Amino acid sequence: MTSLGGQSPGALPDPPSSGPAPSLTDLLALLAAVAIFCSTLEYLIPKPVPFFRIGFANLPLLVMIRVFRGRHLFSLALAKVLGQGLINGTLASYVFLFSLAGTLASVAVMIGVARAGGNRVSLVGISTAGALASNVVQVSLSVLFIFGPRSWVMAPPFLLLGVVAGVSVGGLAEYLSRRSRWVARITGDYRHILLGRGS
Amino acid sequence: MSLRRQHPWMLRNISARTLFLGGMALLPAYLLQENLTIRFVQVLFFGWCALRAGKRLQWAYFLTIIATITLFHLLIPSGRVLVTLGMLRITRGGLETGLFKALTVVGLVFISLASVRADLRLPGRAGTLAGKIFWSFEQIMERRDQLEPRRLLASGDDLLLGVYEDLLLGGELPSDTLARKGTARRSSLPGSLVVSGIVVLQWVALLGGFF
Repeated sequence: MTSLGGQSPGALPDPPSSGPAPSLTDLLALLAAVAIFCSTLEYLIPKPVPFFRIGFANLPLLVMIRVFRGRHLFSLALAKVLGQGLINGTLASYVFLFSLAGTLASVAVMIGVARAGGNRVSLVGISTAGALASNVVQVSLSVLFIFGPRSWVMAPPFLLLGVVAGVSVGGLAEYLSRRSRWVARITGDYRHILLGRGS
Repeated sequence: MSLRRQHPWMLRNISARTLFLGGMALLPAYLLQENLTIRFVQVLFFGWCALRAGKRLQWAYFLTIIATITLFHLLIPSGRVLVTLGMLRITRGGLETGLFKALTVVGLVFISLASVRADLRLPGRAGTLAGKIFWSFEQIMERRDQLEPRRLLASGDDLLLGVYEDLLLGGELPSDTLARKGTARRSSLPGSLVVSGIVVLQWVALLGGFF
């Protein structure tokens, strides 16, 4: 099992390795942990404005967007936000609510674009749409609840930065989904879990 | 992010559950507070609590938040003009509203940082999932030295496949992760008293203003 190498979403999964059978909770936990690790890495990168997020934490969601079912993608998004809230300690603050709203909007839009566009839309396009959705929701919430109506002026540069970040993260996700052995393994195991459930 | 920076006394005497419940109990008193001076003192105090809880505070980030929120509220003039800077009239109402809102937002983050600890147990399936997330995250952080810049993808794959295999094998139970070792499962009497005292203090500061 070395590469997904253009494997289509409906293709037969790779056989699982010997050893204990994974559960959906295992897959969600590891993917959420990778998302939190990515957000830790992002923390180290200097940004033009402190509120801006590049969105590396969305990489696990993106590489699984054509693999996972919709409800499992939402579960992964919730697990990611919950884990970030607990580990960073922001669970009881507005940061958590903003993050939750942005992530859920982003996942909903990414699922919609992926389903509607099929293989005609790359992960770059899906990621950009998700980044825009997340930024629109977060900027709207900021304007409504924190900064006040005059702060709409910050929306255009934020959305522009969001597009740039979305393209970059989408490109990285495209590369990983084609080349990563780990992504291939998770993909194969997920499909076996679904087969085992008879769905 | 880890518990390793947390003050040892807190780890030994205050459980994650007590800390979280304490944070939730003082939240209404904090939010209902309307006095700007008390709000300022609260923010400083909760910032100190967050530091004692082992959290790293990015002061530049919080100062930028305060400055930005205040600036946007200054654009809506209200009340007496304090000073005029070119086109901008700094009014007392705008300044107070902006500062109050900014301090409230920053204080909320500090309360959350101080009261939410990585070993907080959530009930049910969410708790099982959270335990596995923490275990996996700790494993990734511990093995991150295995990442090689020259072969980032291959070494990253090896690292994640290794963590995945260990997760499937059960290995260390998620509930006994490194994050939980040496932390209080139940709060001691002094620990409970400290948390209760902080909660009572916030309510006294609020109710004192009404009488």
